[in-house]
Amino acid sequence: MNLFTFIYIIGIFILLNIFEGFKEISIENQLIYSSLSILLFGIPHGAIDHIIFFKKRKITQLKFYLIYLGLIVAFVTMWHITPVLSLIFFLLISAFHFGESQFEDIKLNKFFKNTFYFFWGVALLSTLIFYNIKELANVTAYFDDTLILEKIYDIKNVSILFYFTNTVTIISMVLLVVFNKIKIERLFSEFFLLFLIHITFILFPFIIGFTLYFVVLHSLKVMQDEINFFKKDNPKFSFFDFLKLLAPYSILSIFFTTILLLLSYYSYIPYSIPFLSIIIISVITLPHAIVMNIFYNE
Amino acid sequence: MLLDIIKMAPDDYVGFTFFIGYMAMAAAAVFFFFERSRVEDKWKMSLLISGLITGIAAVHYFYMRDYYLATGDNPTFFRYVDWTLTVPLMCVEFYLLTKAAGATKSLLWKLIIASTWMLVCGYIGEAMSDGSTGHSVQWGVLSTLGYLYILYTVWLGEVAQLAEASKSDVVKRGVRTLAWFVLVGWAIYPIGYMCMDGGWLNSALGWGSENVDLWYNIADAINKIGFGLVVYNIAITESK
Repeated sequence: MNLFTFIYIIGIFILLNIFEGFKEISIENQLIYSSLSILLFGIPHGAIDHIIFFKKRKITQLKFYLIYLGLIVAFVTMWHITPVLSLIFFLLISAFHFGESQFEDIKLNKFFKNTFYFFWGVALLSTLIFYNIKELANVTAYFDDTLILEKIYDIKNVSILFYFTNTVTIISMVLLVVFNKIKIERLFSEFFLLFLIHITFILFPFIIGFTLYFVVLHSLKVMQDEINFFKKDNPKFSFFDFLKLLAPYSILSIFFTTILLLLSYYSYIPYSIPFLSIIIISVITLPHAIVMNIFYNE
Repeated sequence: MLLDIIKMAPDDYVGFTFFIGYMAMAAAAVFFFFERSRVEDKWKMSLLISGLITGIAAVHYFYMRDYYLATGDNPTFFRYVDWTLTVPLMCVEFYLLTKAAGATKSLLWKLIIASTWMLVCGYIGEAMSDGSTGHSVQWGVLSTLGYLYILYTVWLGEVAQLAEASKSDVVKRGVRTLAWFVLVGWAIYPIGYMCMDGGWLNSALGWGSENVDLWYNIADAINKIGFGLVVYNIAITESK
């Protein structure tokens, strides 16, 4: 168990006690608390993509920002044209990105490594949907523009995906031990973590469950990897230095996200807040996932 | 004598595990006490503690078994008496295993206080419940703090660091295995706490307190006997 698993366990205990006390939390409140957590931890973990990229590749600032923002604009356009395909694309990118951040340290052939990352991530997301499919359908049906996304949550397909990807993931992890790519203790830790993730997605509403995973096991872990990366160059690099690095773009992103959500709230944008939130998260995930792929591989 | 007056249903799994638990704990205690003579002097105390843990549990299981058969109720009182004595002793094992690497008395006392705190708060929350959720949550949170402190200490804190500093690989692996017991094995207890009447798992998922005894019995046997066997393995390997 590492520090993040420990924090995750604390998170589970806190939530268990909150649910013990309040029994139920309304969808509105869930959205507020989850959005705040994602804004505070999720956005900052991608707010230094530019610094990481410039340390890894020789490229002009103009070219970087053009590509980065170009990807965002292209994805927004895709969302406008075909939301269902965009959501599927977003889920697939996220799956790979989650798997990569979890197992970035394993040494494997590129093809097997990428396939494993992908399966681990799809197992995670299909588990989230599988246990909460009714709730997800209710939330999706709550708003007119999200209704179209309901097509994805077909119980039969999700069930097949859930069982298939979880089985492949578990077998792959065992094979990693067989081929001496990870130690047996790591296998137990990963199994335990997978078990905790399942428990979280079973016990808590899907928004809360996903936020707990995303903030603690993904965002904080990636930030730790980033700090370690800077410490290699400068052993005196402190947490405060890291905060100073991520502050400008975090504040900027949070500011513009808030503006966009307010515009949606006052109906200046023809998308509901949940739909717009998915779009915002997905369009910033795409270039971030690419930068992190370079970060972990080069 | 008990069997003369109380008829047991063949499908009374809780009763079944009370009997199995009692005998398993008693047998484990005998085993640890006898095996004590086979290990080096520095490990004798560890095996004595293992024997005491299972011995104390065996006596309480003897009482709990009768109480359950006579009344059909959860023997909460006896459980907490048992845990209040045996869990701090499990913490003593961590101290004894890491003593050679520099564990101090202060670590011992911190672990004993944390474990006692965890159990006393849990007992107040469970046994003195007025049926209100507030009471259950309040004492549940306080009890959890003790558990999290122990969990942190054995996985990431002082015990983990001392085990890492230890020259023996057997001790390193042993402490890590015991830490798994704390992480996974002990997790059953807060789940049981939340299954009692008014608890969230009870109302949300329908997990009743009547089902808890079965899991407590299984978990107790695995945690206490398993814990002792890991210590025994370290002692016997290091004594060769």
